[in-house]
Amino acid sequence: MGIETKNKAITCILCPLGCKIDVLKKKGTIIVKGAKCAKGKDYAIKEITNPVRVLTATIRVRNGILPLLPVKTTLSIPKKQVFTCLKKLYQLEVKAPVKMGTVIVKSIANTNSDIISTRGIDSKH
Amino acid sequence: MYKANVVIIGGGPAGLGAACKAKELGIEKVLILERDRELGGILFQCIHNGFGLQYFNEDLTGPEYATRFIQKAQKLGVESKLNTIVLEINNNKKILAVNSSDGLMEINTETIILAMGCRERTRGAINIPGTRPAGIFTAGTAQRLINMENLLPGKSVVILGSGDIGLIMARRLTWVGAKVKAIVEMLPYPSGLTRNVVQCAEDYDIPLILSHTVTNIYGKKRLTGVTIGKVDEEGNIVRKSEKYIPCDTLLLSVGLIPENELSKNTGIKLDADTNGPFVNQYMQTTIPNIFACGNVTQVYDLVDYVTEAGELAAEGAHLYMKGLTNSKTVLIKKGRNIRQIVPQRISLYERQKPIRFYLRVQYPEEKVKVGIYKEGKEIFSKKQLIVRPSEMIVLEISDEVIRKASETNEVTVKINGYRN
Ligand code: SF4
Repeated sequence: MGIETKNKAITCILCPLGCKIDVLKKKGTIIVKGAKCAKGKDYAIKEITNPVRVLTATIRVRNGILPLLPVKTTLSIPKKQVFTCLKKLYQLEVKAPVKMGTVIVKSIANTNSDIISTRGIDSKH
Repeated sequence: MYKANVVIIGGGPAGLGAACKAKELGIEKVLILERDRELGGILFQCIHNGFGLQYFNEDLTGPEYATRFIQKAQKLGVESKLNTIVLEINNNKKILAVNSSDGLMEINTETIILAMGCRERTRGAINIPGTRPAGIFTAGTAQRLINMENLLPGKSVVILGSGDIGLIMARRLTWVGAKVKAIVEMLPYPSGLTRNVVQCAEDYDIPLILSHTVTNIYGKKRLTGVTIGKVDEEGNIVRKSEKYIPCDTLLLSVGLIPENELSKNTGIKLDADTNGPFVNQYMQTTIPNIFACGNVTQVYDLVDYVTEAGELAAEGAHLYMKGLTNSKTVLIKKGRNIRQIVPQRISLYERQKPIRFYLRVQYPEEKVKVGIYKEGKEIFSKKQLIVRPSEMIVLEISDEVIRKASETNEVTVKINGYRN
């Protein structure tokens, strides 16, 4: 695993310039080309080593005025965990009423990030 | 007969921003008329994050952003009527509206704030040749079905247009198990923000095919596929470039248009480039007691800007009710590479606060300055390394620049190259 070679073209999203950055990962060294600033270089390295994203999704609601509750991760989670987390979320069902900011899952898939509701949903009756 | 000081038509982010600000300024009776079952507008179906980075300095989802303002409005004593449709505005101060509990009602008001937002363009769809099967949706409709109604529009999807909603939906569809085969964009560059191109398309290896469009639609009952073709610089389809993509769903993300049917019937002046009312820095239309804010005036990139526009409209209504009128108007003309700009005019008040212009360019350019010119002489400029139609430019001008501009009747905003 240590000698894997990875070559990736990354578009920097930190400022409107949107530099096209080439990142080459080879035997533990990382070469970055095309970033016009240091912040972009760090971003590119992070994108190739451990990219993270905020995940937003919906969970089924029983007895609510709406059938779905929108939720999000409280922290950014590793990109490779996105589908594992989604699968867990789709198996859940919560009961209305739910308040905004309620913790639905603690540390989902051992990411240290909780899943919280992003709106309130009243019950039907 | 109802009476109000301010009636706000539309309870989305613009209307909520206006309503909260109006109460904070001490205006007594502030009433929102909303046609949906709840306040918040489109935000409740935008479950993704990226809202509020400018206004709150926090990364919120759409529903969270909406809820903050709804709760604030409730605390401040903003009144609202839901499931209510405004039918017409008469003599600039009588609003005729209807809902199932009050029936037909007439509301007398001192000022009106138009905050109806925008709707999705579907015209592109009508221009595409082919059959008319089920399975063709606007991106926003698909978003509502998936995020709020628990319905999946299809399993194998082509998206026409790379606007932000289209990009966001590409990711969302992937996350709910559908296969997005391609995002097809007619222009040689993406229409949405770079952040969305990266995190919604590139992250999931969804091909973003530029300079292409959908040229034909197939399927009798349900969509079975589309052909896409290359578009040349003149906008014509390149012969023999067509390629068939099987799919059961086509999403259209081909732009938004301000919703101004009500505005038109009041007789206010509209701007052909924004498709919204012609306004001054307090979002005052050409009828002094009618204001307009948010996506009804022009389609903004960020909800944060929409909230700010709502707040300005409330300030404008407040100034109007205090009897503070403006003495003089300076028109803002569009020069080189400016597609649209809001406000389109500035009014001079005795006490002036800085003014923000929100503008869009016609085409991308690098190393430019955005300048304001009075009789050919530069009175303000700001350097930008890059300008793109997809990213709005915000220019804030000071009291001093406003005073210089006020020595004439019009100034021109344009994009110029710069050396070194
Ligand atoms: S690398 Fe620096 S200059 Fe280039 S887009 Fe990223 S933040 Fe902007």
